Amino acid sequence: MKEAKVYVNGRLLGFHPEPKKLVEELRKRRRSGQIPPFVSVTYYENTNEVYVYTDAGRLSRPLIVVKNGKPLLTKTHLKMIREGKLKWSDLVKQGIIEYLDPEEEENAYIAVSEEELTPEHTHLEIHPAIVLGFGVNLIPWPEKNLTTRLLHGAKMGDQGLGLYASNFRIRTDTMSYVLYYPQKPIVRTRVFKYAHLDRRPYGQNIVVAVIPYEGYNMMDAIIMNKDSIERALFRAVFFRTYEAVERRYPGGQRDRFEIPDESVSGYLGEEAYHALGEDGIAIPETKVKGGDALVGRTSPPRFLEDVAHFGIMEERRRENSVLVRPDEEGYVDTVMITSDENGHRLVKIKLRQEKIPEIGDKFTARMGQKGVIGMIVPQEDMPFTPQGVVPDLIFNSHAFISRMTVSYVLEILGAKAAALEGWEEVDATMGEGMDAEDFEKVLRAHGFRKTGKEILYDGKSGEEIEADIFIGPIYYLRLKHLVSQKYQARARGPVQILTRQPTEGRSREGGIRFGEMERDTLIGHGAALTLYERLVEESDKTTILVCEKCGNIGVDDAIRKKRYCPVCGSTKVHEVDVSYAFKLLLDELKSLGIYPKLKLKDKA
Amino acid sequence: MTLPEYIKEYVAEWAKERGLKKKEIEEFLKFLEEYIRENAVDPWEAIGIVTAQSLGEPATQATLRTFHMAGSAEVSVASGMDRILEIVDGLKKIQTPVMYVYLNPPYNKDEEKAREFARSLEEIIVSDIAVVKEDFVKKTITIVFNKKEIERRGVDIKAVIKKIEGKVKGSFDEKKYVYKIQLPKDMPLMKMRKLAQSLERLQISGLKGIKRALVKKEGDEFIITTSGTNLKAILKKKEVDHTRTYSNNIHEVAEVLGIEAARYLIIEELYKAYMGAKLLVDKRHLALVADAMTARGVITPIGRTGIAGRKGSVLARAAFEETNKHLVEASAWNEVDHLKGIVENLIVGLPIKAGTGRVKLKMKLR
Repeated sequence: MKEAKVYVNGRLLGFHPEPKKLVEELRKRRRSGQIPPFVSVTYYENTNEVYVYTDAGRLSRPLIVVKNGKPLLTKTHLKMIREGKLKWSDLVKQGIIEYLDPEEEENAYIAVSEEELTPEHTHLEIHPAIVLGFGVNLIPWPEKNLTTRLLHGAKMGDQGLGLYASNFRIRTDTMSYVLYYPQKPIVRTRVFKYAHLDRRPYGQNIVVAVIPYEGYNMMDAIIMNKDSIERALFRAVFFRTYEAVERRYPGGQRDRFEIPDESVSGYLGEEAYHALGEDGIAIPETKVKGGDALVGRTSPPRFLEDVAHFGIMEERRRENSVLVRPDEEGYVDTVMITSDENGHRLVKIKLRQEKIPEIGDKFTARMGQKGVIGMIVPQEDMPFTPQGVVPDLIFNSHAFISRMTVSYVLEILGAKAAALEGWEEVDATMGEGMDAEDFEKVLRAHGFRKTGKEILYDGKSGEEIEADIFIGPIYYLRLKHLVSQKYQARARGPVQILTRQPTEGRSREGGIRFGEMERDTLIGHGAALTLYERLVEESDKTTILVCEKCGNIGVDDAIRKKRYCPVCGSTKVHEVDVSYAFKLLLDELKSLGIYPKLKLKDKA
Repeated sequence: MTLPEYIKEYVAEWAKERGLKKKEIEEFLKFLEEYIRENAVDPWEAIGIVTAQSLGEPATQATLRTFHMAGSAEVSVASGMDRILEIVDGLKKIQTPVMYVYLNPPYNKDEEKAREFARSLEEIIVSDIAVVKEDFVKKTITIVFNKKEIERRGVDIKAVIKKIEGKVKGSFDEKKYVYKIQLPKDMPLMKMRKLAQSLERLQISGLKGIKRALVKKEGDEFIITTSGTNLKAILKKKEVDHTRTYSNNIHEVAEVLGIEAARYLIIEELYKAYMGAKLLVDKRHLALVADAMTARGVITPIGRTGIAGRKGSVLARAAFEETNKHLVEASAWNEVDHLKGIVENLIVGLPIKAGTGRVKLKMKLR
């Protein structure tokens, strides 16, 4: 056999006659602690190459080392750990637990559970649930749901508002949300604890009734209890960090943080600067609304030389303040003054806004049962149980049929049992969680039906609802998609300078694009005038003057009250309505050396 | 509006069977005319856009769920989106050229005879039954025949040797089934390689272009489906019923049977492609596409090389694809845009000349 190539961190280091022995020896040394534990050693038999990686940025995960079909981790180890005599790092040092990266996994044969171990296996997963990712493992009873639901649930788990970081007050994230009253879920998996999510949870336990409610919760909408919201259920705070740099320009000019005075060009009016202190920076805890200045800033004139040349124009500084976004309002929370990497003065201002749940906000249970609020109902109109329990949220029963989220039902059962019995938590880890039978017993012992269903009374009429309603506590997340940051509408508004068409995008108060396919539909209907209105009248209609003789665009001299063609001098110019985009096209053609001319005809 | 003659005749016959009176027939015809007028497309209706939308929208769905039939013994036909694009783009080389060859009696009732005829259609070339080896040093070409393959295909080896001898002289070893050709020593390598390749491609029997021919039962008769088409040659065979034989190669049909046949074939093939994906599309949309593609007397693809690229208006062409090319050429050739189409008017900012935009009021002067 030829000598094997040995690569270290991707670079060819040399050759080795016995790669298998080399790899074995390296691994032995790693397990005995002579080499750092995160070094990976891989041998590829087909190409006869050895890869050794020691660099940063690789994902590696711990596995239990297996020898002759027996895991090295024994009951004695576990006992010692429990007694505090042994630590994780000791296990790694002793080579009982080993870190593998994806590269070395190619050489490993990993058993998921202890039962399936054979002599060929080299490693054992620390827990079978590890085969699922972190996000999925936070979902209660993941094994009882469809994969698609788990994927949805894992994805939305990231978007849940909560205590995203315990130092959020001093962080300067561009955008961040913090839930007012985050709670630990009653039903949770073991991963929840290991991830320390019990110290910074991301949702709240609420009581949910599963019924359709007057059609306001159809198609994945949900009903929320108004009184619950007023008791600060799912209330959150939204922070946005604004930044302002006091730049220095070449030539000694610089920006100034100050309250601009009237002489500044582009002065916004006294009202816009009300939040600013003497130093031109907003004072904490003042209320500001869209368009208000957070940092008053003036910049030097743009074309310094031109101004000096004429000498007539006053040297006016430009208004260049940092303004609150047009659709936001709130309180100035934190003001930080530092300097950036160029030594310029830098101000970061955090704006605090309270976000109360409203119609259109998005919520979800952990297993991908998302929905938006369709109606907020006063508590007195909500259904209630004989004991007087009123749900915080009404979920539509039709959402179960095709999605089959069994863990939603189980979670309600489990949480209900836990609430009755006073359990601190219900274990729902994959493969070892509690079962429905455990909960049924408890429910029955407390005089409830084992199905979790209860008699409910209609809040409006006071009459008993004919069907029995499934009701109980469940962990819900408020997702970061808030209507208040998404809705968009426009009648009149700003236009782009170049094309004179309406601006695009919500932050620019833009219109909704009437695109090519929408255009096609109107042509298909033969609605010529509707189309004209959309694309010309309501967009970029302009009137241009066209020379009858040479077909060029004419000039309107308003002072001399004369209209003429600048090319041929003819005064026979006529007004023509066209879209500004067309005028622009003509101009661009001319700039390219193409000479377009318009021929006029009488309107037929 | 008057009804076509053949409809009138049909109605007359239909009425005769039921013994309708003359007045009743007239009334019925009047009703028919009225009915047709009511259902006619309005003047200046944008049928092109409606067609494009009606065909385009289901096609976007078809791409998501094309299914394949695995393992069936039939000649497979490209289906779904691939086929639709093939037709609409007017491709000359299609993925799966197929013919349905109908037979004259007695071949269409006798499976054995049909099978024999089918075998005679399959094109066999030398490389199908033999391996051609070259030796550039000794300047020899050896053709090693595969005995099994020859028997399976029922090829007459003597005829093959005769065909090869018509091209180059050599010696045939009957025991070894090897044909050896000794070439002159001064022959250039290039020429030798070309000769070997032409030997490989030498046709032994069958029709050119037909790779496979299978017998299939359709109703109470046997037909032959072929992969690979050669309509011109197959229509000459006396065994073939030339009135029903079908090829899915549009260009070939246009050449052999004329542009009207090609137009009909475009409609049929598009309809099959859509129905195969279980998409219901009105045939009149397909007819419009076929009309547009065949109106020039040759197959014109839809797209920038075809219909869209030959529009009269500069602006319309520039708006579609290859903007720079069209604008520069228009300026070079002093083109005039009369603003008659839809796109041009949209660009300029005038109401489009279709639908309600085409209707004008005129005063009646007394």
